[in-house]
Amino acid sequence: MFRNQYDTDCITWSPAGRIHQIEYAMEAVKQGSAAVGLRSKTHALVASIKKSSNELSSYQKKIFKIDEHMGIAIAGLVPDGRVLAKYMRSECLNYRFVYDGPLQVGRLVAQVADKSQLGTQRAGHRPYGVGLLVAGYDQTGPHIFQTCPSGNFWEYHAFAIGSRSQAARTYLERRFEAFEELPLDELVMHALLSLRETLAAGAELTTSNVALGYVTAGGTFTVLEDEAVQPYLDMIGQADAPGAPGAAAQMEE
Amino acid sequence: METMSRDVAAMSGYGASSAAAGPTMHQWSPYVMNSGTVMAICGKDFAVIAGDTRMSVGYQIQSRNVGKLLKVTDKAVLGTGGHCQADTLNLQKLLRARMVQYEHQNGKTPKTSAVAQLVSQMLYGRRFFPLLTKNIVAGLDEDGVGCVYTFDVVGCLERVRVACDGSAEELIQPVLDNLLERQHQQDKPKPPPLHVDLSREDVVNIVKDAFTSAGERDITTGDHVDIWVIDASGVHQEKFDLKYD
Amino acid sequence: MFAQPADDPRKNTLRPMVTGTSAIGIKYKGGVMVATDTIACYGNWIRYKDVQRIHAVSKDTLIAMNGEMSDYQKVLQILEQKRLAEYCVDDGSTQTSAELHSYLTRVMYQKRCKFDPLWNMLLVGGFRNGEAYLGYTDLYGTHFEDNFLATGLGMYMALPLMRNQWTPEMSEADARALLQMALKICYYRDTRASNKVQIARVDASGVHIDEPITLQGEWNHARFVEGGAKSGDGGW
Repeated sequence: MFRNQYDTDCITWSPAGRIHQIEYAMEAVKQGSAAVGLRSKTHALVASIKKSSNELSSYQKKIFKIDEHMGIAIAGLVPDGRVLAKYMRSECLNYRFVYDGPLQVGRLVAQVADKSQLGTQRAGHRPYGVGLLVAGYDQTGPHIFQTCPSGNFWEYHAFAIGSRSQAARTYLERRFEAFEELPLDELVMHALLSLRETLAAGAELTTSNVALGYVTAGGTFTVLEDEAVQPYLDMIGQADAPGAPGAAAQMEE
Repeated sequence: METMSRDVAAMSGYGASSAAAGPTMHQWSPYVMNSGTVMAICGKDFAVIAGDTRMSVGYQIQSRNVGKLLKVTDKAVLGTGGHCQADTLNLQKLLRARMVQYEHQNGKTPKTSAVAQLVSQMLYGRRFFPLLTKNIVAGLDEDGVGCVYTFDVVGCLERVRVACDGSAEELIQPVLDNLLERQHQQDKPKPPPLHVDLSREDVVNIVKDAFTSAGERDITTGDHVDIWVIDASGVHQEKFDLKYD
Repeated sequence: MFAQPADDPRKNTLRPMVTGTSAIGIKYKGGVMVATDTIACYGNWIRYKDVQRIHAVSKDTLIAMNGEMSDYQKVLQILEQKRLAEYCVDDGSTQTSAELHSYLTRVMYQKRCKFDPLWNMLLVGGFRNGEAYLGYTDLYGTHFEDNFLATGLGMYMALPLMRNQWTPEMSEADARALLQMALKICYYRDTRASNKVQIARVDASGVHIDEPITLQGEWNHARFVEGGAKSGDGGW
C-alpha cells in the first residue's frame, strides 16, 4: 500500500470509491499481534499473543474483562483498544445500574461499531487502529464477534485477527464444525494451537506471551495469564508428542 | 385534601395534611420511611453484621423478606437500616458500580477502610438532598482485624468496635455499651482499642438477643435477621427468625 | 394545564387527581396473576367506570397500577418506547421482567428526586423459563420482589389474606379464587373500589388479560341487615 493524494483524511474519497485512511487503520490491525476467538455450545473464548518491546519490558495487556459475562481480545494499537475497553466497561456498568442485568453482547458490539464509524466520517478525527474479538455469553448463548476500525462487525463461530492470522483462520476453518460439542480444555487447546500457527519461525508459545479469556453460562469472564496457562501449554506439548492421542487425531485431519 | 387518594396517603404516611389556603408548593415529601435496624460488632479476626428483613411503611408491613445487607467485597459488608429503601437501593447500586470500576482500574478489590471512605463520600455527595440511609460498614481491615465503621446520613465517618443504626438504635446501643464497651464500669476490663474481647459465638448470641429484644418493642424490626460473619475465609451468611407480628 | 405566571416558581403535580385503587398480585405454580378493578375516581366521584389498569408491556411482562391515572399512562408510554426500541434491534432477545422492573424503578426514583413523582404504585408480573416474577415499585422508587403483593388499601386488606392462604403449589384456579376473594373484601371496605374487576396472568404461553367480570357481593349478613350494636342503623 502506497501513499496517494486521496489519503490525507477520512472525509476524502478516492476516485476508485475508497477511503484510504480506513484501509490504513485496517492495516494497523493486521500488524498487531494475533488474537483468536472461538466458541462451543457452552463457552466463548478468546486468546492472544502478547508482545514485549524488548527483553527488559513487560508484555502488553491484550485481553480485557469487560463485564461478568464478556471480555475482549485486541489486535492493533493497544492504546486505542484500552479506550474502547473502557467505553465498553462503562456501557456495561450503566446497563447493570439501570436494568440490573447483563448487556446483550451483540448490542454492545453494535454500539462499539457505531462509535468506530464516527471516526471514519469526521474531519479532524482518525479511525481507531484496533480490531476487537469479543467473547460473551448472554440470553442468546455464547458469542464471538469481531469489530473493525471501519465500523463493520460480524459474528463468528471462530475467527482470528492480527499479524499472520490467516494461518490461524485456516486452522480454525478446517476444524470449527467440531467445536460445538467440545469441553473447555479442548477448546483452549484449539485456541492455543491456532495461535501457534501465527508465530514467526522459531518462536514458541510461552506463559509470558499467551493470554486467554473465557466465559460460560452465568459464569464470570476468566482471564488466564502467566502460570495459569502452563497446564494448557503442557497439554498441547503432549498433543505434539508422537503417539499421543491428540496428535493422531490432528494428523487424520 | 379533597381529591387526595386516601389509600395513597395512607400508604405513604405523608402528604395528606395540607389543606391550608394559598399556593401549594413542594410540600410533598420525597422520603418514605421503610425503617428497620442494622448492627455490627467486630472481634479480633472477624466482624459480625446483622440486619432484619422487615420492610414497612407506617403501620403496614410491605414485605417480610427484603434484606438490608450488601456484600461489597469479600471483606466488607454494607448494612443499611432506618431507611428509605429507594435511597438504599440507589446507594447500593452506585457502590457496586464503583467497586467494579475500582477493580477494573486497579486490578484488586479495595480495602474495607477505602470502602468506608467511599460510602462517606457518596453520602456527602448528597449533602443537600440526603439519602435517607443509616449505614454501617463491617469487615476486616488490612491486618485481618475486624472493623466497623458508622456514618451519619450525610457521611460523617468513624471507626468503632460496635455499632447499631436504625429504628431500634436506642434499644440496642445501650446494651452493646454495657456488654462490650464498658466505658464507665470501673471494675470491668476495658476492651482492646480496635475490637471487642468476645468470641465469635458470644458475639453472634448477643446479636440474636439484641434483635429478639428489639423486635419486642420496635414494630418496624422483625420477621428475620440476616446475620453475616466476615472472616479471612469470606462472608458466612445465616438467617435467624424473629416474631412475625 | 393551568397557565402559570412566568415569575412563579415551577410547580409540579404533587397530589393525585384521578386515581385507581388497589392492585394485587400473586405467584402460582406455572405463572403469575394480578388483578385490579376497573374504575378511576376523581376524589370520591367515580369519574371513569371502565378503565383498564393492567397492561402487557412485553411478550411476557405485564404491569398493574394503583394511583394517578395520567401518570400511569405516562409510564405506559415510556415502556412502549422501550419495547419499540428493542423490537427494532431485532436480535432475538427480549428484556426480562426483572430488567423492566429495574428500569421502571430507576425512572420512578429519578422523577421523585426531581420532586416530580409519577404518583403510582406498580406491580410488575412476568414469567419466563419456568420462573415467575412479581415485583413492586412506587412513586419513591422503592423496589422489591415477593410471592404476593398488594398496593394501596389492598396492603391493609388483601395482603393479610394472601399471607394466610398463599402456597407456592397453588394452581391457577386457586390463585384466581384467592384474588377474587381478596378483591371482594376490598370492594366491601374500600369506598373507591368497584366489583367490576379484571384479572390477568402471565404463564408459559404469554400474557393473558381477561375481560372484566363482575363479582357478586353478599350483603345479607345478619349484622349488615340488623344493624350495629349501638345505633341500629345498618352500620357497624
